[in-house]
Amino acid sequence: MVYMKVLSLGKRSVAVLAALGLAVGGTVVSAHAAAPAFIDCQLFAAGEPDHIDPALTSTLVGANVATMLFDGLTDTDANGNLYGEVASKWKTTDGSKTWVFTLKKGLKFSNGEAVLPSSFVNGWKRSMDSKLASEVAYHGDFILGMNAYSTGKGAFPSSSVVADDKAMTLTVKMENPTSDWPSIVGHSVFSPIPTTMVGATDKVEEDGTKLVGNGPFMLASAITKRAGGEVVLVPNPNYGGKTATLSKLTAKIFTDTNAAYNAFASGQCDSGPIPAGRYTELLTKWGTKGVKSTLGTDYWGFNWEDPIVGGTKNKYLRSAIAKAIDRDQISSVIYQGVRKPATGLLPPGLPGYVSGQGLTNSRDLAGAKADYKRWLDLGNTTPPAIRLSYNDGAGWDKVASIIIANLKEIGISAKLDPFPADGTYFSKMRSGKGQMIRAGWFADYPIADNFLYPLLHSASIGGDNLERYNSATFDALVNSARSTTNKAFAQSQYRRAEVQALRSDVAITQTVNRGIATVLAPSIATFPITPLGMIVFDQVVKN
Amino acid sequence: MFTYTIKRLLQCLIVVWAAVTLMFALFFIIPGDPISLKSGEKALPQEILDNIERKYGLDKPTYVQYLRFWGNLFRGDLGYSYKNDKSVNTILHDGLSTSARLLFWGALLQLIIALTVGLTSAIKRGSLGDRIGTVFSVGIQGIPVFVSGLLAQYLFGVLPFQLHWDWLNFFKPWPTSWHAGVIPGDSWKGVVLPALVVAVVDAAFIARMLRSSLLEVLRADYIRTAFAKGLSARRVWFHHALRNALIPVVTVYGTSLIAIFGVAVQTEKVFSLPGMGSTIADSALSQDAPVVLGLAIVVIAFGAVVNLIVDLSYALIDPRIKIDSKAVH
Repeated sequence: MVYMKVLSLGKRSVAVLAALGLAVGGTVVSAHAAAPAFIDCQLFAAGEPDHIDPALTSTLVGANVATMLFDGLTDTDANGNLYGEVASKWKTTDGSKTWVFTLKKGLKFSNGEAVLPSSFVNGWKRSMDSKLASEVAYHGDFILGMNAYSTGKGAFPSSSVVADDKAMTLTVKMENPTSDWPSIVGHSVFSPIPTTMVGATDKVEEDGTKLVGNGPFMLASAITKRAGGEVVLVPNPNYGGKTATLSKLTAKIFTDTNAAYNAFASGQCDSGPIPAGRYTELLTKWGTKGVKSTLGTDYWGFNWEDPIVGGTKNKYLRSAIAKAIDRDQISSVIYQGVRKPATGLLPPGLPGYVSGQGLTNSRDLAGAKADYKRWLDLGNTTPPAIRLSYNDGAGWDKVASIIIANLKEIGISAKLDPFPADGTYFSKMRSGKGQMIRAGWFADYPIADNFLYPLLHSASIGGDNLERYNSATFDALVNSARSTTNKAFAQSQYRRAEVQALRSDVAITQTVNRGIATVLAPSIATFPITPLGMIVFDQVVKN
Repeated sequence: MFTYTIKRLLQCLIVVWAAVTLMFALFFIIPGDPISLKSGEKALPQEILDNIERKYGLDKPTYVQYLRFWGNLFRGDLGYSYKNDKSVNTILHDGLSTSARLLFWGALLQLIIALTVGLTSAIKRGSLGDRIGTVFSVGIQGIPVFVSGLLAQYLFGVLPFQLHWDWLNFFKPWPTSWHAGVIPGDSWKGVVLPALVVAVVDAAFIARMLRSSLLEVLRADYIRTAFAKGLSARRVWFHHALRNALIPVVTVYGTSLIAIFGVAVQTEKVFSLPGMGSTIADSALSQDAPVVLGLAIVVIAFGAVVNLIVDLSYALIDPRIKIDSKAVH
């Protein structure tokens, strides 16, 4: 009788399906409804977020949620201008070694508690605590004595971070003169917390009622961080700034870009990511309101210790390569114009940015050939194929292939040198395993030092200075910029340092500046994105 | 029987222990470093890396980590993800919920499709329906899940939205609550496409199997006799032929249910569903050992328990197995 049961199940199922089919006919749902709620399918498209707790998040997607939940002392607006968020003003009393922030009065956390200078002390005490083991705790190293605390070697430097809740001032003593401190302190790791979050662990974000911030939004419920889940934010009723125009912000979590785009294109979301290779097609179709250049640069560096491409004696080979690379081709073919050709390491929009700091702004084939000949004339022989090292599986092979073809035109042989996508690429590059090294950088805060010091200073060898570039001239320029109290002089020194590394030494050669491209539903009128890649959801306007 | 059961149970435990130990060891053997993976393209200061290692106990000797792992396991604590500090118990709960619902609906749809197509093709042999069924069977089997998944999203999501045929828009969010998956609620549409993608891959194979099995049975003497006795075609097909034709199909269907796990992993990825398969795959790529081990334990234990039940049922059905077991001793 088994088959009869199976058969009858089949009949019933067909009947059920038919009934459901009829029912569907009357069920019409449109996600692009008039209600000013916003559903974002872009936010987590690159993978699930690590954290949305500002003390812990180290990814752009996680930080974007964190910045909606928490307001810091300062922030950068969509035009790249620094402004006071909780701070009404700030000043330095001793040449950038001590900073005094005056806070706005009357601001509250979403639970109604007042935002005070001590809220920042509590927040920093938590985020820099070695037991919390935050990946972003090192940003606190600018503060005098904070490194000892964040590495578990000392107590919290209470004398360096002094709150006066009556006067509403927060005084911060720096390790060294730091003229860019007001920009740096805008990082989400420096967010304030209410007293209810003092000592909160890294699990606090799993309970929507406990992650309490002072930003324009608050968590509507406990979050589901896994793919297929969502993070739902609603306006903070106690917010001291301008109330968000959206009634609800839902960030849907996708791990597949195609699925996320299809969800957008089928009306499930108001914004979505663009699958690789479809920028031109989809931006033509949906418009370019969601496109923004950000503070990031892709580049290729030369292993300074490599006998063929490294050191001062091989400068002309490096300059030949730098001049031969067709940045326009990389921009148009790979990124379809979303990432623009770069003219230096520091990206446009960064305070103090000057165009054309690199060796060349556009391809210079004749110059490349001449430099290559000059290098050969110095007694060098035709080099073996130069290895273009990159982490596999992220599409860098396409960029490397263009460069290989570019170099072939001037008679330089090069080859792909993929490293497994197991997270070991950067550590291998740091230890000098690469020859011509794929690299890139996205600003933590909008200052030149955030690019030049970690990427090219000799103190960063073994860290983010993947090329192991070591120049006393460059170091001296950056050191003088870091130690001065004169901001204009500092910017001038940073510009000279950039020229030293890119033009005089050709330690690296830039390719493109980074950018964000999002497709938006026609109902989205305003969609501001900061140069740091943060979507300002509280200013999004949906018709 | 008692001794046999105990023996098989012990074997089952050994299998689980050995498999988990092997996986634990693999995380120390394979290249890569989960903590470095967290930092991406930016280098973290060594002191910060040390903090993180201490937090997860990775600064302890391997054997201490191993013992601690089993100690926590016996207390029902599967640990925390290196990636986002989320409890593996919670991840497991979410993953199991999604995968179970996907498999349930996938298996059910598979059965419905296979029976419909297989029966139609066999009974109406040579008809247009048979030809369409054969083309469908052969065609569908050759399409990888990531293609059929994206195609389904386009045909039943993107296209209907563009054409304003909202009744055909089935690419909806996956329902997060249990009842919505088991007893379809408002968000039942979210289940349909992923389940359909899971179903069609092996449904085509089972349908072809049913067709050939049924055609063979329909040529048998007893079928001819049944027709000669004057029984209606419907009664012959469904009462006499299908009963025998289903025997090999049921065997294949059982195997297919296991294979469906593999298909479900890809489907979860294509639809960004938080199932067990996609979680294990994502976590393995980021070397998130606690998540991979925690979820793998469940999968391994599940497999071992199924094997145990099968072995015990053999012993119940065939007493010779018990005799052989004693003979071994």
